[in-house]
Amino acid sequence: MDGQTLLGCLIAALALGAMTALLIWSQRSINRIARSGFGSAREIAKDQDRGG
Amino acid sequence: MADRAPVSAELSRELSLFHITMMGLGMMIGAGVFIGIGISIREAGPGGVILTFALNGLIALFTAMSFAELSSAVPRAGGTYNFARIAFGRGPSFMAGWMEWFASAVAGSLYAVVFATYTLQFVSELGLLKLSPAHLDLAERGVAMATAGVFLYINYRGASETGKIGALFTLGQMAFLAAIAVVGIVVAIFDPQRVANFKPFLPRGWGQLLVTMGFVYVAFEGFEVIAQAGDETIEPRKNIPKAMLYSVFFAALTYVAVSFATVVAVRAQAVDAAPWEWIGSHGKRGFGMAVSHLLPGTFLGHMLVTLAVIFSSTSALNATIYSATRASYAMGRDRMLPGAFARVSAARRTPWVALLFSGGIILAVAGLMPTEDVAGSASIMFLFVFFLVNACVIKIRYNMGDELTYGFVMPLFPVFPIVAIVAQATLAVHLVHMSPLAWVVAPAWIVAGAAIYLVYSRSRAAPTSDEILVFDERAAPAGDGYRIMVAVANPDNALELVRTTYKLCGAKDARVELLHMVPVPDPVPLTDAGKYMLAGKEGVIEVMMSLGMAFPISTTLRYCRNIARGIVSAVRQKRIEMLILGWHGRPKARAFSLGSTVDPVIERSPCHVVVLKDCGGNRAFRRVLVPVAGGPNGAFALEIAGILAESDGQIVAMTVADPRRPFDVDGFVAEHLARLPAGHAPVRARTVESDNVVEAILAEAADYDLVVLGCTREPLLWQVARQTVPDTIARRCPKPLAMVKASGGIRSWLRRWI
Repeated sequence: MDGQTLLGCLIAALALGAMTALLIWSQRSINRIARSGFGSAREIAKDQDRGG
Repeated sequence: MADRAPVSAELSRELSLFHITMMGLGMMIGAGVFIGIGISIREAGPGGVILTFALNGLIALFTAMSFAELSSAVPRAGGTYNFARIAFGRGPSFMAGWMEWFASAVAGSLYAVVFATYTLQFVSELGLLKLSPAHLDLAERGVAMATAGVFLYINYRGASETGKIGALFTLGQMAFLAAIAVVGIVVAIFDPQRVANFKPFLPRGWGQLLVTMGFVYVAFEGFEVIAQAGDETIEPRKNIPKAMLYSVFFAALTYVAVSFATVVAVRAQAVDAAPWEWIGSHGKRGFGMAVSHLLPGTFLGHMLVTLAVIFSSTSALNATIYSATRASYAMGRDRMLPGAFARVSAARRTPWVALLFSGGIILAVAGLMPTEDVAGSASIMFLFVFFLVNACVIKIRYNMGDELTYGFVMPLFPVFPIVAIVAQATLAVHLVHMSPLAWVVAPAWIVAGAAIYLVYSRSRAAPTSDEILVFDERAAPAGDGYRIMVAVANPDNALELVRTTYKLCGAKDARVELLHMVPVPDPVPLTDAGKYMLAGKEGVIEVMMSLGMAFPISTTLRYCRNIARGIVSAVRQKRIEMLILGWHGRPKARAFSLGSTVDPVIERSPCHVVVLKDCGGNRAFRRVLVPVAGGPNGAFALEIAGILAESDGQIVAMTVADPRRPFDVDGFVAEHLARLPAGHAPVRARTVESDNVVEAILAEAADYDLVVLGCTREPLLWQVARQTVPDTIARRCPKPLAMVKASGGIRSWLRRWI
């Protein structure tokens, strides 16, 4: 496998991996917000910062 | 007045997460992917097509996160039109709705034509139809119009029918594409030599990848249709953001998997060129030609491709009709377009007038216009809409993040919208290679929209609940001078502010603007705001009696839903140089450092801000403490202390020694002494040794009459993460306190002008 192919595969994998990670994080976040009650951006950001 | 009232209309909530996800997927996986794959392989090579869809998917997901956040906070039909109205006002929102309406309608006509073309071609291949090229074109347009008519009727039947039919067709297309992807992967496993079709990976280099990404990005347009379903979705704050993210993710996965299958579909020995060159040489038909090699028997391959295209184009047609109708319905609802657009059928609960006009555009373009050229202009307008949404999410989070109710908040804000804006701008550069007619139609539609807005919509648009309206305004005689605004809440608050304000105004020889924002609770119409303004009016009169003889005074009473936003808006509009407001000393909500009004006002006001706590009465400030650690806010605090301290008193600039960040307080005082007014109290520098900055300052404050404290310079949402030292001192300080923030620098300039 040449360098260009290796780099291309790596970039494609990273892009798909980033998409998957963002999707999973977002889905968990939406469920958590829905369970604990919708709120302002500041309240939700504070909750996220606490790892909630 | 009655003519300007918002039209009362309600849609039924019948669409589930599954329905709207399918709707987004259905609109995205339309004709774009079938045309795009062959062209991408030709331009970027076999590896380039995979990278194109994977990277475009990531960029689209960033924009989808902006849409998701905004849709969760403003879940109403209208999508981008609503977001732009809240973020930028009536003009930009009209243009957003106008572009979205046109782009969706034209995309719908394109899908109708694609359906007709593939269907008639397949019927011809079966030998059931023999037409000359001229008659074939007529037949295609006839079938396209008939198909559009059928789906217009389905949309008229109601949201539930639209969602169910759309979901059915999208499921069909996903099943066919999944079958193609699975067969491709199986073929690659059993015949590993086909993986060699990916050599060379990027035959035309990395530069060509950007060109292809720009061309194919339109394949990700469509998820925005979900934002239009805000009025008809069950649990919209939760389901709409999920549906947007799911649909982009699954579309990207599908595109990548189908692209892989297309590349490995052709055996190197079966064609007279490298497989990627052979697929690319067929251009738009490359996908179909390749997939026909994937299955035994060319006819079966053709049938599979035709069925996939038929399902894709019909589900996309269904979704675009829905989107176009809701965009024009929302504009009618707010009287940006005639109120008739917001009429809802009593029996079907669908906006039938908006559907009628949207159908008119779809049928006219499908029947009479060069559809692909016009569709090119739709792509341009979709990109404008995406830019706008990414700008809206930043503006709305900063301006209204405290008053809207969110169901989703994106991480690492505002990194993703900024990256999306930059990436889409880069891709948009490459759209200039599209049809020249597209660059005529798009500006023509935009100019027509601007004309309609200026002539019709601007004067007729109904106010929305988030707008700030002037209730009463009395201006002082015209003149120049330093402009100080005093935000008055009630008579008690006014008495707290008077003495200190008098001193500040005197030092600056200022013109005074008294502002009272009338907070009107959400369920109360803004027209009933008068009932809520009595206390504020008394407060304003109180301040006028004290300051009116000494300074020119203007008064403004405004009503709004959120006081902080109203104050910042007035500061911007009246070009205020210093804002003075009172603070009761305790935050009511845990999310705020100082309070739900004070925090956003300090952060967003593009001027000097002085927040006063317990500074009322006739008390004289003889001993004033100014805790400093450098920076513009510390220097401004020293200046304010010089104004407020009695001339026979003393000002102490104090710092807590920090071995990690040595600070020369004597040098600081000497540097900024010139800013203090003539005849100010003497200033002394003092350094205190302590491990705990907060406790050291609070202990020192006990011996003083007033503490003047510079605000933190950290952005608002970063403060949420950790309480800053000034905020903690402000909340715990038992003495009168003035918390100050200096204007200036690039950030204030940006806030004022952008």
